[in-house]
Amino acid sequence: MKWGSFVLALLLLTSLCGYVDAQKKYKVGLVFDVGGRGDKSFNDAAYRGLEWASQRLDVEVSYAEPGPGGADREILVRRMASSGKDLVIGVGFLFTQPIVSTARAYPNVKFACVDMDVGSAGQLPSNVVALTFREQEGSFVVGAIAGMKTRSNSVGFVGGMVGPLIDRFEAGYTAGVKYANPKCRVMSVYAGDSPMAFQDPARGYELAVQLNSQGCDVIYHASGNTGNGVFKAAKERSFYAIGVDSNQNYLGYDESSGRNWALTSMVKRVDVAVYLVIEDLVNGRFTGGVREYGLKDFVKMGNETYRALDFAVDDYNKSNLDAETIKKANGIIEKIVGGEIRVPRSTKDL
Amino acid sequence: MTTRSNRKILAPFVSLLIAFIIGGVVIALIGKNPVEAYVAIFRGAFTDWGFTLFQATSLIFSALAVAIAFHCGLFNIGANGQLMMGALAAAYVSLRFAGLPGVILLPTVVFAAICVGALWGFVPGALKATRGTNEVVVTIMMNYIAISVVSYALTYSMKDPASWIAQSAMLPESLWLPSITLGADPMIVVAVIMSVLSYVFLWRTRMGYELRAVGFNQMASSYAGIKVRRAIALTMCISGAIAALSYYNYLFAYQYRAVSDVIVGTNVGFDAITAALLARNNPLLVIVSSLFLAALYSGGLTAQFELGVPSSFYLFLEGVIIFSVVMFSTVLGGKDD
Repeated sequence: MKWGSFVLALLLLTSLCGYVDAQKKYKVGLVFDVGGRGDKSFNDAAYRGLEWASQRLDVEVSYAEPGPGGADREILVRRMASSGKDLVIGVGFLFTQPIVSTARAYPNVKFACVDMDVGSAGQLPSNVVALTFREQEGSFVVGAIAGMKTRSNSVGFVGGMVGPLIDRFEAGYTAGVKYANPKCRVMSVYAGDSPMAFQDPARGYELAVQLNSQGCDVIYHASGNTGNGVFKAAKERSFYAIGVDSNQNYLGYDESSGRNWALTSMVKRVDVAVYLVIEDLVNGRFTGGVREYGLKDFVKMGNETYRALDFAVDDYNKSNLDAETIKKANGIIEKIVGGEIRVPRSTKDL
Repeated sequence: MTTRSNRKILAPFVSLLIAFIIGGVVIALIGKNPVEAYVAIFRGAFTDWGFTLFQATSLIFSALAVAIAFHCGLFNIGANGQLMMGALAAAYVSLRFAGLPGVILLPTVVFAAICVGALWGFVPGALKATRGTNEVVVTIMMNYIAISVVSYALTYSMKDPASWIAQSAMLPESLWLPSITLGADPMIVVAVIMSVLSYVFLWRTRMGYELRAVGFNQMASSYAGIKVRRAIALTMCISGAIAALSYYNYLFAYQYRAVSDVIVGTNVGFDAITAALLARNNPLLVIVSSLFLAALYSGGLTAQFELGVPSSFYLFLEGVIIFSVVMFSTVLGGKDD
């Protein structure tokens, strides 16, 4: 009996220690999508966000990646949740279902899903935040750059799958072009009406060649892998292409001539989204629902400011963008953030 | 004779030990403590029994498929494709006839999966039997065809219109499997029954005897009056039919829908080769080897975020296991029976 109470006291003490410790430091777990670190895209960006958080905020971070095929996405999310994490982040829309079902089982843990497929998720539990982007704002900025750059006064847009998602890109881009250059016309085409439209570089090439032969000298693509064909056409036929999602400027580099045909890329910064959601957690501002990151959201690390959406400037494309254009583009960003420019969400609002 | 069979029993254990030692060295080289890593793997596997059993269930079906084919002298690398086609058929039929009552729907769905899996095994089997085509090459190619068929179906005709992921709609609730003890689903029981049936089939039936005889020596079997071609084609059919059930638990006890990326990206059909090798193609030992590999995999997931042991460590360890099993069975056990 005496020993029993002693053990009980010891147990209580240790659990209390655990409690105090948990209060002091937030624990964040992140699950990559298949492929994990080193993909030079979403996973790497997410990891950078996690690193920023562990440097700047008082959090303990850990991460994992699913095995081939990723049938264990949900298992990883669940184990993270059950191992005492305060926030579990899934990178990529394939985490939609796993996060929604796990969140129901762990109402005290918070969850975030990058690029969540809100349409198929149904009613979001209140402890889930969908991290999405206002792609129309970034598209507006690159549209304005295209409008400033064009000599033929016609620019093109290659979309992947027809639907509300890519429509946002088209709407923002078109509005941006018209804002910078009202005389310029925008020709928009789509690769198809199924998800395969994001996986078809040959189609992208074909569409880009068509647009270029009709006079477009700048083409923006929002079409996943299909866009690789747009860059190929740009190099062959000497027009400018604009990349999407991650910095694709290197795709425009033509080794034989040494020229670069990437004008810029509309960058969606997953690192900023990941960092900001962790910051929200630490500051007690975490709320469930759909969180849209736009031009106004940024992270300052050292001298660098990283916006959630941005246009990419690097060694590959700096010869294509003069200081004047960059200054104007930054001015447009200021105006959108300040609310002076309203960016349409859909081509219906144009 | 006794010492030789003792050695044979010993061989898988020695190979595993060697694999773990090499694995430990690699963990040490990436700057982690090997003992801690193995403890984390062990703990992870046993705290989440449900997933370990879930993973083992899929592995058992595919490993049985590989093992049975091995007994007939056939190397079925196509379990992965047979699994995918089985899953697709099950998902399709369940959605197509969702209105039927569960008691009728369940056997229909299982039957459809088995038939499609058998067909996927029949093609390489028949080609081998009639044209002497190498079944290794054909099954690998059939895997690629299965990948294309599954991703096409789930991107177009079977896609859930509400989602922009290539995945089917939710499968009918009447087929959802309940969770039994430890968070596992009833399919583990089916898998164990299937192992016993496979054992009985191979060693207690005439057809099983014929099949093994063909595996030993085709010429002699043919001379003894066994229809060798029929045995080969039939073996591949049976093999495919069993493999087709590997992802049944994934569909009806876990995700409740068919997600293209997950089905197409699976590695179970290849892990199954390791499981069959470790079990020396014995259907009953397949249960043990599958549980073991599943535990390793399941524990490896936890070791990742607890200790930062990369996920590819599992694949590495699996490779070393195959290597040492093959090497040490030859060294210790002489020629494999």
